[in-house]
Amino acid sequence: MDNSNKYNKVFCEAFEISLNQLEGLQYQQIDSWDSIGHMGLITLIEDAFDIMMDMEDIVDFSSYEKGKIILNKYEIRL
Amino acid sequence: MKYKFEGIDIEAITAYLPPNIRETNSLIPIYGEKVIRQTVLGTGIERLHVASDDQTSSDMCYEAAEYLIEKEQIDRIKIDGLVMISQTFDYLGPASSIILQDKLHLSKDTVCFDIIYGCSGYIYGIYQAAIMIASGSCNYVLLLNGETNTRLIDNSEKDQIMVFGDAASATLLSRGKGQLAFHISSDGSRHKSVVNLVNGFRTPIILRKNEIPIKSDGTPVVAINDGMAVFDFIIHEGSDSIRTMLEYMNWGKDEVDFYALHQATKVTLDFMRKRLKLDKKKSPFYLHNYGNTSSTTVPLVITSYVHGEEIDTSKWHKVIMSAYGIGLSWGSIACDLSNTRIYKPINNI
Repeated sequence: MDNSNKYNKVFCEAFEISLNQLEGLQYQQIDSWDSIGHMGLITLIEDAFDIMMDMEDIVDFSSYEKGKIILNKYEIRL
Repeated sequence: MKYKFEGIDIEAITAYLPPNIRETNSLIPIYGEKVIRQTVLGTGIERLHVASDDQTSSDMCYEAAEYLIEKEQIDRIKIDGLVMISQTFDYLGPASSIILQDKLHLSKDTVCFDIIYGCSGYIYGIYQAAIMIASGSCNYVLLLNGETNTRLIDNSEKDQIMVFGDAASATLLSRGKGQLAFHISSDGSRHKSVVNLVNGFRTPIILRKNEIPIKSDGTPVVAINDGMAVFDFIIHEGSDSIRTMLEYMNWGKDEVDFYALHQATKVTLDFMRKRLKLDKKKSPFYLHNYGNTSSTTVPLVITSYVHGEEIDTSKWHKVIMSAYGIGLSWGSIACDLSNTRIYKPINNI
């Protein structure tokens, strides 16, 4: 599975949403992406890409699109 | 601040849980099955104990204290210090600890303190008790931690109603031979991350009702808890405090026999364990039946884990306790619990 599909799959699994809901998705836009859901998302992303993110990046991870930019720092090309 | 006290023992620890239980799944009709499922996955909290309407933090502390006194067979006249830590005291005044002095039939010579702290309160409470003993003025200090968190939260606060539960604990400290090492920090510049707004005098609800922020459903905001800011704080400062304590004690992280860490949520603890590379068996998440009970999480995780997993604590020579919360305030303790009597929490299911 390529990185983009892996990234999308993590989002869909974390928040139980479909692919067509991902574009433009932001923190706290849906019920499941609250602070607890956010930590769950980050855990899944770290496991999926075998990375450990800096706290600043975890807090800055405020949208689906912003997440892609942040993962780029960890050499995860999406 | 870092400091090592000599000649102080943690004699015994217990906890009290109110008998009423609220299953997280019982909230499905309000929030839906999906939200509940995802929340439980992140928090790890399946149920909470909830104080009855007429039960206060001091009532629960009383139950824990009576149980500990009975188990320890200690002569009440020997207890000359009483410290209660809470954010939900009976009154703004008098101090709940003074009311408890009478209720517990302790001597009128007992020195009593109420101290307002939240999740970091167990660390501060032990510190206060240690000061009282180290000063030479007290021989036996009873530390009581209690919280009725559920009174501060309503159904509109989804993030919190499934996380915060009610509980109390009692810990007896005495003049002895042990060492207690502390690392304690405070940062008031971040006090707005977690605030209990009402019942203080900055915005007294009776006199300045119009200044209390209102939620979309028209009810007043009684507390603010910025989840992301708190998460950031716990992972940064909590992890640093544990590292600081290990360095101060010159202990390797794997040498430690047990880490009793504040349990905000399972995912928060998972993050901390991962970043510190801690053995999960030595730093368990064990509050799935109780939730985040503020300053009682540390004694509750010790007492419930020891009895739930039938742990032999006679080898717990190197223990680190660590907690972080409102203030913001945080700290850690390094101690030896190998001779401490650890009693099963009352009403533990």
